[in-house]
Amino acid sequence: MINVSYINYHSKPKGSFLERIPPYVKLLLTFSVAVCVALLDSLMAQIFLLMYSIVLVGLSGVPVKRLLKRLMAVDGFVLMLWLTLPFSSEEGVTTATLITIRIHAAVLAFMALLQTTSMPEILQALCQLRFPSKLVALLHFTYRYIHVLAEEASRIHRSMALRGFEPSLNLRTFRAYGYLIGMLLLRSFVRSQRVYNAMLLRGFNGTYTFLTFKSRLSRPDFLKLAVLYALLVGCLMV
Amino acid sequence: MHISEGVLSLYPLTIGAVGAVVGIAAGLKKMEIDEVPRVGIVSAALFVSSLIHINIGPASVHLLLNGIGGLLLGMKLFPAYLVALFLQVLLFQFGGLAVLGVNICTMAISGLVGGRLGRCVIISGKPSWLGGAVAGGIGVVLATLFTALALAFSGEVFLITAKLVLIAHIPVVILESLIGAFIASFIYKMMPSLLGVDEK
Repeated sequence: MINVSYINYHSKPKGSFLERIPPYVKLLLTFSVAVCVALLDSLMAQIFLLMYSIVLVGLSGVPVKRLLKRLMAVDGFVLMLWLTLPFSSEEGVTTATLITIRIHAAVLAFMALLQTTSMPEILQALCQLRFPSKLVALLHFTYRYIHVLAEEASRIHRSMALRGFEPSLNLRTFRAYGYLIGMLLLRSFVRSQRVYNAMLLRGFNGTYTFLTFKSRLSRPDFLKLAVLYALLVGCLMV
Repeated sequence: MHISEGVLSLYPLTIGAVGAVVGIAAGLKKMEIDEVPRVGIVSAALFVSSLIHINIGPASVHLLLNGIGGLLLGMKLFPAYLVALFLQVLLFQFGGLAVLGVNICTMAISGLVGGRLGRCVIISGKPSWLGGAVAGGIGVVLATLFTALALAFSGEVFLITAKLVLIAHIPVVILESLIGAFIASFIYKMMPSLLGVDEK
């Protein structure tokens, strides 16, 4: 039921070009691609964006296996669209085509740009982009404790299974799940108090100092980056 | 429940983004820095809980828990959902960055309303399970309505899809209010302060 390895964070592919560029530049590029995908309505522009994303994936060095696995999950949704949209109106097929291209362009770009960025880099980039520090701290905490609590949840679930819990469609099952979630929330709350006290003892004063990552951008890399941005502007012209 | 990137048109996307920014600003204002660990860890717990798959017959459903989130976090649900949905983009490529605003609004506003109503029920002296059921049920009902509305506003092509979304979530409403009832009564028994009510 809860698959912990499922939410394990990516190990980023080393040595690719996208891995080298500064995280905040990458974050801005991701956001720009997302906005372009959302705003441009013409089929040509979307096809261009899709090719752009494929180029990004090529530059990222994300393993093809991982890529296909993610696309499979997305294509379930796309399939559902194709089953409903063409029957609802005349432009159904056109809309479904456009959406399919859009979804793939967006997902490929997100994978290329975000899978090559580690979480500490993203936090640092958000700081540099002047996001509120409370928000960055919140992201840090949630990310950190998702893994801890997923393990906690599967521990509770395991102990339920050992005591003979077998899910079926009755009130007892729902009570068991309710208590599981309640227990998880309760433990998380108690844990948060402990964590906060420990942080206070270590001198937490509300500000965060993140490790800083220096970017190692050589001149050819810089040129490539400029070309990437120019291409994105180009798609606005299509 | 979230809408994928590339589906909605500009109009709902803009409304969603503006609504989300307002909500997040209000939520951050209410959140002191010493509350950050609590909000972060509780929303991590909600994130993990919403990954639990519950089998109903042949189908497997996962919970939204936005109503329970509203009950526990109040206005802070907005920044909590920003973080949770961003992490979903990051970890699973679910949703997307441009639709982030819409998804935050559908989940957080409905959760907030559900949570507030649930808390009113509990404070007025009714049994705690009723409050949990109200929070859970209304959270899902409103979230589904908002999602369907966002789809319907994106063009007539999506009317059938919007209707399907509404119908498909009827069992989830029942399930969510049942489980919400058990969660609330459990927490009320163990640690009523978490629900913001004093021990009697």
